[in-house]
This record gives sequence, structure tokens and C-alpha cells, in this order.
Amino acid sequence: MDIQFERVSYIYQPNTPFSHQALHEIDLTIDSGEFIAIVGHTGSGKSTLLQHLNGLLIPTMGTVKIGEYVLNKDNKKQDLKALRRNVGIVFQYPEHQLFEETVEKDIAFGPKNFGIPEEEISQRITGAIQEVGLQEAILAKSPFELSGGQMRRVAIAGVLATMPQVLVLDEPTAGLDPYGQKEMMELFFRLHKERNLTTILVTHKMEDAFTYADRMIVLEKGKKYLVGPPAEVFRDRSLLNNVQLELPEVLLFLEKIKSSFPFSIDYNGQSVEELAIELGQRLKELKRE
Amino acid sequence: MKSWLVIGQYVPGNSILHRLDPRTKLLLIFSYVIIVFFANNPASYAVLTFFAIGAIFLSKLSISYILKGITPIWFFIIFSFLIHLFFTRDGEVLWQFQQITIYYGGLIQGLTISLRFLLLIMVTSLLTLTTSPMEITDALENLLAPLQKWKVPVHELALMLSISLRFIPTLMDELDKISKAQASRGVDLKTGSLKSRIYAVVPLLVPLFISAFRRAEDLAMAMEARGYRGGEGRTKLRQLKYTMLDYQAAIIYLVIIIIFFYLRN
Ligand SMILES: Nc1ncnc2c1ncn2[C@@H]1O[C@H](COP(=O)(O)OP(=O)(O)OP(=O)(O)O)[C@@H](O)[C@H]1O
Ligand SMILES: [Mg+2]
Repeated sequence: MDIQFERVSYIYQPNTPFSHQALHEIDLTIDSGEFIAIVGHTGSGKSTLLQHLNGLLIPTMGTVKIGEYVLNKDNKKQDLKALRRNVGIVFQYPEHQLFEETVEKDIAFGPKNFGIPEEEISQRITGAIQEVGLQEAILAKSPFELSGGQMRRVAIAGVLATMPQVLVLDEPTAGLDPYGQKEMMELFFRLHKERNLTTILVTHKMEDAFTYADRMIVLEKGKKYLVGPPAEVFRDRSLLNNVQLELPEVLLFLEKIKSSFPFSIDYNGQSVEELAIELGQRLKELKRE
Repeated sequence: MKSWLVIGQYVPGNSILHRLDPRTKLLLIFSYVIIVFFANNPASYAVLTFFAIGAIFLSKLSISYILKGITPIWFFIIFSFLIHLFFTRDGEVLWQFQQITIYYGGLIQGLTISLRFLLLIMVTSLLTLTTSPMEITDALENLLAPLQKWKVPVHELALMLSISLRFIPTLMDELDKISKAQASRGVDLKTGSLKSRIYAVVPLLVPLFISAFRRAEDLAMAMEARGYRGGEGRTKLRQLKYTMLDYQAAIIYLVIIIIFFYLRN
């Protein structure tokens, strides 16, 4: 499903003293199958933007087009169920949405609402629980006796089980342990490839944007600040620093190498550890010469 | 948040009404609420309306904003107007159509009841619009302090009140977030049969209660960690103090009340 934003503005609580414009005339096109990372300082409007992707918010001005759906002020009353089935959103702290008696029922909740047949639901549950890296034994437990990280995984499984075509992730790894964060991101990336999803990831971790995204969108105070492939966006450091963003650690490391040694290392996807080893080798070579 | 949830929510500002001592506002408005029930002729209602409009003017809030803020109350105002209009049998017959008869007394009764209602709501919402929840509870605690002699736990009650007021917007936000999350999972609160809509509330309430309990626990722990141990010997960061403005307001209010009692029959 292609996604298109045309001059989208959103105002919270319009016509009151609390009115606050969270988005300013955003133009965007997201092609089917793209992996998009949205970054920006806290309060820059990332979550607000995401909520336009399945009609939770309708633009105050402008139009959002998603597949067949056209969302704007003039057609507020339409049945959004098919849209919501195809656009799965994992919200910030999704574990706060759990409510059922058992993990199994909670994961089944979404698919059931979208009218998926019973037999298929149970298949999807086992599939989803394995994907997020949990044991099947957990299915019979109450979601409230799980650890925070496990709850997060259950909530994510609940969204995956509806098998959306567009997967929207609002800081899905915030608060997980470093290993779990990596594992989760790898999962999302694998699903993105396997199911040919359109993935939209909001993140504060530049590393993730750099590693996984085809294109990045930088928001600043509700305006589109920069758009482009990560390599391009990260080219101008001062531009990013202006909006309180940093380069990914790897790029900072490469920059540091370049400025402190008489050689530079080309980047082709190494991690910081691998770069360190490479640097060691280069230094040894330098000594020998 | 939906715009109607903003009813009576504090709007920070620096108008005369904002600067009055919260105790003054509380006392004036409390007495106004009682006095409204003593009005019994057009002149006395006019004085009360004049006071309400004057107060709105002094608050620097727009009348349309206040009227919009009480949207949910309009239903009750119109409902009580119609009840009186149709069911009071008093005075001349104004209009008759089949079973429906409208009497002059009914019309007057309906109008005065709705006006009374409107005045009450407007003036009380002015209190919450111009006074932060913190100030309101401080003022209550201060005004009710004498009751401590009779072992009324005034401080604890005030604390409970301020915590509740403090958390209403938080819980509203939370509810908004949860309902968005569940809507994304296919919950539909707007269509469907009554039964299915009632069932649709469970996925909202369970997470809401859980989060409220979690917040309560966190708050209790945070308060204890910072050494809170009840009201005894506790001093205030912001002392309430009557100023010239409060005396002026009290005098003007008294004059209006005297005129009011002079004009009513
Ligand atoms: N329900 C609401 N009512 C009023 N204003 C809101 C509401 N939700 C968000 N805002 C405001 O809109 C702006 C954008 O908020 P948003 O949640 O989209 O930011 P964000 O980029 O997701 O931030 P974060 O990184 O902290 O999650 C903020 O200034 C916020 O205060
Ligand atoms: Mg956010």
C-alpha cells in the first residue's frame, strides 16, 4: 500500500486556549515495501504523524492517502476497519494495552476483531509467539505476571498476529535490555523482508535508522526537516546537531579515525567492534612500514 | 483529548480573576451559588446575570469558549426547560395543539430554571478556569482548618482532593492512548449493537485501572521516599495572602448583594 501525505497539518484541541499545532503542512510519499525511519527531538510530532496512518487522527488540514483510503476533514465518517487491519501499529509502551486473562486471548484479540477464522487464529498465535522469541508455555499465563520485557513481546505478538501489510512501530525497543533491543530490531527487519512489509519506525536510536532504513524522515517542531537515505541525511552533521540529533556511533567513530590518523577506513556495514579490530590492524601495518 | 473534556480545565493567565486569592473566589462563588436560589423576579435575575457577565469579562476568557466548555450541560438545560414548559399548568394558555398545552407559567418557569442553571454552571466553571487545582485545595484546606478541632482530617482530605484533581487529566490522556491502541486492534466503540459496545469497554477499563493502581503505588512510594508523613507540622511553600484586590472584590460583591436583596420581592 502506498502512503501519501499532502500538506497535512494537525492541531490538537483547536479553538481553545490549549490549541497546539503538532504538524505543519507535511508532504510525504512512502512507497510500498519501503523501510522508513522517523527521527526527531522529543515533542517533534512523530507519534502524531503515526496516528494519521490508520485514521486515529484525521488531518485538520490536508489529506492522507493510504491504499484506497482517502482521509481528510471532508470524509470523517467511513469504516476504517479494513484500513486498521492492514496497518498494524505498535505504540510506545504497547504493554499498557494488555487486558485479557491469558496471553493467548490477548494475542487473539486483534485477529478476532478483524474477523479471522478461529482455526487460523490459533495458528497465528503460535507463529507470533515464536517470532517474538517467547516459549509457547507462556500462552496460558496471565499477561500481568510477566516481566516488562515479556509483556512488550506479547503486545508486539498481538499486532503481528493480525498480519498487517504496513507495520508501524513507535519506539518499539525503548526500555528493553540491549540484547533484546537488537533481537527485536532483527525480527522487525526479517519480517519486513519476508512478508514484504512497508515498515515505519519511530526511533531515538540513530544506529537503528542507519542500519535498517531505506529512507529517513527528520521532524523538527512538526515540520519536515530532512528526508533521504540515511547515508545522505547523516552527511551533514551540523544540520543534525541543530535539531539535537547525533550521528550514529559508527559514523562518529569513523570520523574520529579520519581526524586522528593519517588514513581513513571505508564504511561497509561494520559494527564498532569490527571497526576497532580493523583499526588495530591498520595501525600495526603503519608501524611496520 | 476531545474538546469537551476541557470543561473547567484551568487556563493559566494573569487577569484580575486569576490574581484574586483562591479563598476569596471560593467564598464569593459559594455564596453566589446559594444566592441564585433567592432570585424571584426579573430585576434580581438581571443583577445576577450582570455579576456573571462582569466576572467573565474580568477573567479575560471569551464567552464563546466558556459556553462551548459547558456543551454537555446544554442537554440538561434544554431538557429541564422543556419539562417545565410542557408539564407546568399555571397561568394563561399560550398555545394548544392536540394533547399539548403550553401555559404562560410554564414558559416563565422553564426560562427561570434554565437561566438559574446556566448562571450556576458559568460561575462555578469560572472558578476552575481561573484557579489551579492546587490553589483550590490550598484554599479549602485553609478555610476548613478550624474543623481540625473536631478531629476532622482536613489536611488528608485536601491532599486526597488535590491528588484526584491532579490525576484527572493524566487518566484522560491515558484513556485516550489506550483507546487508540485498542482501536488499532479493531475495537469499534462507535458502531455495533449496544451489547457489543458495552463489551468493547472492557479492553479500555482494565488497562486504565491497572495503570491507575500502578501510578498510585509509585506516587505513594515517591512521597514516602521524600519524607512525607502527614500534615502535622507541615509548612506551605506558597502562603495564601489576602491583598487589596481581595478587599475591593469583597466590597463590590457586598454592594451587589445588597442591591440584589433590595430588588427582589
Ligand atoms: N493529546 C494531546 N493534546 C494536546 N497536545 C498534544 C497531545 N499529544 C501530543 N501533543 C503535543 O503535540 C506535540 C507532538 O507530540 P508527539 O507525541 O507527536 O511527539 P513525539 O515526537 O512523539 O515525542 P516523543 O519522542 O516524546 O514521543 C507535543 O508538543 C505534544 O505536547
Ligand atoms: Mg512519541
